[in-house]
Amino acid sequence: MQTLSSVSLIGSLTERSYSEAFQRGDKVSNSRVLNILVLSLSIMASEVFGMSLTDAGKVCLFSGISGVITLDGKPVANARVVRKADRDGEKQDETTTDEQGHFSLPPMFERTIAKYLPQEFAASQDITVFHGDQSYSIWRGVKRKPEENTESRGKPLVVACELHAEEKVIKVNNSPIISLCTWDVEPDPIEKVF
Amino acid sequence: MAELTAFQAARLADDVYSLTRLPTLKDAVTYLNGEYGEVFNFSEQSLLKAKTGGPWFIKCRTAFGFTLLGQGSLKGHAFFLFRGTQYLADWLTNLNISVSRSSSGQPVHDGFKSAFFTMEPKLKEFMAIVAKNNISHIHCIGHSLGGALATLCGDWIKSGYKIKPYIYTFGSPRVGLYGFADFCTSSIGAERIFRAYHKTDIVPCIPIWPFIHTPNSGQDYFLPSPGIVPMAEYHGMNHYIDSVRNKSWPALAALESERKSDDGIVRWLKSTSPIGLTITALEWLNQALVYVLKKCLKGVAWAISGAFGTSFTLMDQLAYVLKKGIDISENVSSLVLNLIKKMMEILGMKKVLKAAELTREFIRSIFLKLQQKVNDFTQAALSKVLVKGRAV
Repeated sequence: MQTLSSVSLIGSLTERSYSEAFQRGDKVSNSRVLNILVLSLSIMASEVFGMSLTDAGKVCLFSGISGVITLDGKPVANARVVRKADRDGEKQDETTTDEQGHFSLPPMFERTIAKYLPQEFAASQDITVFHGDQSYSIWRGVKRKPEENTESRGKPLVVACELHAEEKVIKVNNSPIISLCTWDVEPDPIEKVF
Repeated sequence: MAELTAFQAARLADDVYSLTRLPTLKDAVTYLNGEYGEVFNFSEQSLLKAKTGGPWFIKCRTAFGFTLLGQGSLKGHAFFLFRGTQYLADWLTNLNISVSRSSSGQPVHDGFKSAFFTMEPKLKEFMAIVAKNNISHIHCIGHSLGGALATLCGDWIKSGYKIKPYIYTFGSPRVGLYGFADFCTSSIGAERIFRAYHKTDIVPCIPIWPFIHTPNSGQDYFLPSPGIVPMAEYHGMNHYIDSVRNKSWPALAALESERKSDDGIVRWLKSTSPIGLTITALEWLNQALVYVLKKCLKGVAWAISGAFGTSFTLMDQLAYVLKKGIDISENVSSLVLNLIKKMMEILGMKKVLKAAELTREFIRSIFLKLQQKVNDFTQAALSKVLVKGRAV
């Protein structure tokens, strides 16, 4: 049956926490409990069959980001740029700015079976810059779409961050971002709700 | 303003995902003010916490929702916002199907209830704030698991505080058994419960019978979505927001006419192409059963038509009929025969069936077998997922 084979295919992409969760539990055999997951898995066959295995289950927590960091207009060299993202457990990477204050971080991905479950994608994002004995929160947000470059509507995310600039809140692709950086993007239109 | 518009409720149901993911309450306030102007007034302790997972699952602490007080144009309004399954642990909570008692003493999904009751202390704190703020309207809002939590919250408010809240859910799973759905609907009032769901959203299909939806009478809000197979895509809040934008509740209620047509159902019943145990087949079966039952009951002086709302699933409808002792074989038509044949085909039973064999016991046995088969099928498939998952 097609649905069964598709489930086993998805199974090969499963994430560690998922299997661990069940290994901890003794009650996997509690069959009635588990129907739903499979109902939802089995109907996602078409999505999985339509894509290559290397992309399967891949979600982007933080797009590749590069840019220049300045303080009062002057490039900030040798500053630590620490980036964190958290969807289901925190991930972190970091880099250091060069002499021109330039930094670059690759896209941050995660593989998860959750991509195929009916649930909202929401990953917290955070970038903090450590310069001298000061730290500056330059980016706090929630990524609400699993694709790459949603923060900049598909373009590469290239930012200019003035550490003494005022923070602004911007919403792009339904993702709120509070940041003192600027980048080339059109924010979501604000709709009258209340 | 009494109740929220569908769009207002949908936006808040979506916002709670971002709100619970922003690092500080201050950031959340910044975000809300940017979106809506200064219509919300946070209480400092409004961030709700809840444990996730079933009785066996690793307990982790994670934010589940927000409470808000209105100000300005929303003065006098209080809000309980619940988010859905952002973590897999939450999803497992969903799967933890055993039944326990709600605040009103009615049978509900134990996983939902457990998640809800870990939040109760925070909710009580907020209700104390509500009492001091001259609140006239309480709104409980949620998507997915959050919809189940919003429904339980409504039941909790009604039971403990004698206030009738408004409940708004998007793609909510079924919260409780008949007793809960019926009690919650009658005590709060169907007119205050707004359950919106997409045709092809998988989540409202679960948990399967005997869980049923609240409200169990009155209006629910069926939203057309592409395809005939329930799936994950149309569970997304983005689709719900798009579906309700610029539409009043009555306008949304009018969308029901886009359900499967009677002609289509009859064609499916009479078709001889082979069918197996698939979501599609079960969905058709569900629709066909409603259709056939209505035909069977036509002319019977029985005011049950209202009971056959969308909250009744295949199993519910069968159970209802069995409960009422309707002997379908007395009113048998080719439609009933075809329907039972379809069920048998899904079960892999090749028996040639005659109308005279359609006793109540036989139909019940088919019903039970079908339920068992669905359970076995899903269990087998899930086991494969787990085995592969461990091998990775």
